[in-house]
Amino acid sequence: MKRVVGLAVVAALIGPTPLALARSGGGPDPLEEARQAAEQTPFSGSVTLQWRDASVLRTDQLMVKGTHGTLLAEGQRSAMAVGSERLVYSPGGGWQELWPAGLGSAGHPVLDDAYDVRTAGTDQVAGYRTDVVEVLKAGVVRERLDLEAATKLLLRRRQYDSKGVLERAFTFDQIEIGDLSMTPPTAPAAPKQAGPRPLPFSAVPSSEREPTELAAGYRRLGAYRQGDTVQLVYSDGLYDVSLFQQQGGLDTGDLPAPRRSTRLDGRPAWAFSWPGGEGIVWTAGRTVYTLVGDVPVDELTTVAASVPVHGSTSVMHRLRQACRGLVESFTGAF
Amino acid sequence: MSMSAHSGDLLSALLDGELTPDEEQAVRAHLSTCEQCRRELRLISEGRTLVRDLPAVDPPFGFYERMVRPRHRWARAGVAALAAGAAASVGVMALAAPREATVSPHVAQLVDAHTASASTSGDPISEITPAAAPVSFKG
Repeated sequence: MKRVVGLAVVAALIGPTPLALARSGGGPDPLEEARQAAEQTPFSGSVTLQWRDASVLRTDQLMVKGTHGTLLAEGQRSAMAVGSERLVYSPGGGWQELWPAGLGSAGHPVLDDAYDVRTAGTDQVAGYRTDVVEVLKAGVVRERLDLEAATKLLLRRRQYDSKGVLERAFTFDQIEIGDLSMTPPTAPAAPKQAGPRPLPFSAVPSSEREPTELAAGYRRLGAYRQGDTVQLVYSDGLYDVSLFQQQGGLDTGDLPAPRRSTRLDGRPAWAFSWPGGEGIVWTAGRTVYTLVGDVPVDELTTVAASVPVHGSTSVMHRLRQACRGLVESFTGAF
Repeated sequence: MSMSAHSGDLLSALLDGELTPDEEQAVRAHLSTCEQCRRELRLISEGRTLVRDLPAVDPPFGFYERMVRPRHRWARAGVAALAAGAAASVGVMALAAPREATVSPHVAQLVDAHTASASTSGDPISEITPAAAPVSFKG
């Protein structure tokens, strides 16, 4: 309990980043309001997730509760947010820390840099009246957000692609809000420390340094390293994408089984979906790229195509590798 | 073209149609006055016809191999040295090449890492809930 309160205090002290507060015009940022409501409002309920995997719309249901700055989602696994710390529990691996509290938040650009935000009346979700907010890009509604009228808790979030097709939805089917006697979820005492560590941009290897912006208005916010993997975080104010880079040749044998073969600027690539977003893997030169984001698939592809790939390997390198392959064909690997 | 300067090789070229108009005109003018060149032209033409009428004959077994195989010991040694040098070069290049690391992106971990970072800046409930969904990236 002390740990929970302590982390909540730390999170409160860290607070939202200046970027997140820097909304330039219009009304308040609805997602920022939802974020604050999630940290301050006790609630407990069940959520239905819908996500599109190629042409199939998949569904799953989970239990979610939160109070005192701690959130817990329970399905086949459990995911927890304690202040800015993120943890996940799996039956085989126990509690694992995905994001240390000390990392804080990468923040995000102001929403209306790339989007138009407008109110769209009211609705009912799980028995609560909601204020509906639409987020548009180029005149097309990309998100509909239902904020509970009194607390601004986000009760429903529907995401659409550039053609208006539903890609993903998060909906509270049932929720109880404001029970102050609710006890907070118990955070694990000693999770496995596996989270990333921050990487100053100047320390990012030159082979992995990427521009400050990608297509569709995504701005680079942070760089992190975990093992041999460098993670660069980008955001356009509404969606986040992570560009993971690993040095070496791609072994496609361990890619997700339910993957889709595609092409990225003529290069072979493999796309996949999960309840929270989309991903795409490709390789260029000696780097394997994995771009993951809570964005519609069409936008993720656009962003991936804008990642400048490093020059192909040198002629001498390719010659040496060819010689190595030739010798290994006779002698086996050495 | 004078009477003493016979056409020679120009006759064969005439039959092959390889002369320029001026050359052809000069050769034909010479032929009209030179019996020797007319006879030579006839012989060349008949010879060409005989050769073209000969049947095609396959070379005997091993003809090409014998033609290519060096006859002298020093030539064989040279070829062997070249082959050995090439093989040694390939070997040295292969040893100089570091073994290329292969990467199997552990997509489930990368998705978790992204979910964690994204949920710190956006709405934490809708961002972190999918991390608890029972999704397997394995077949």
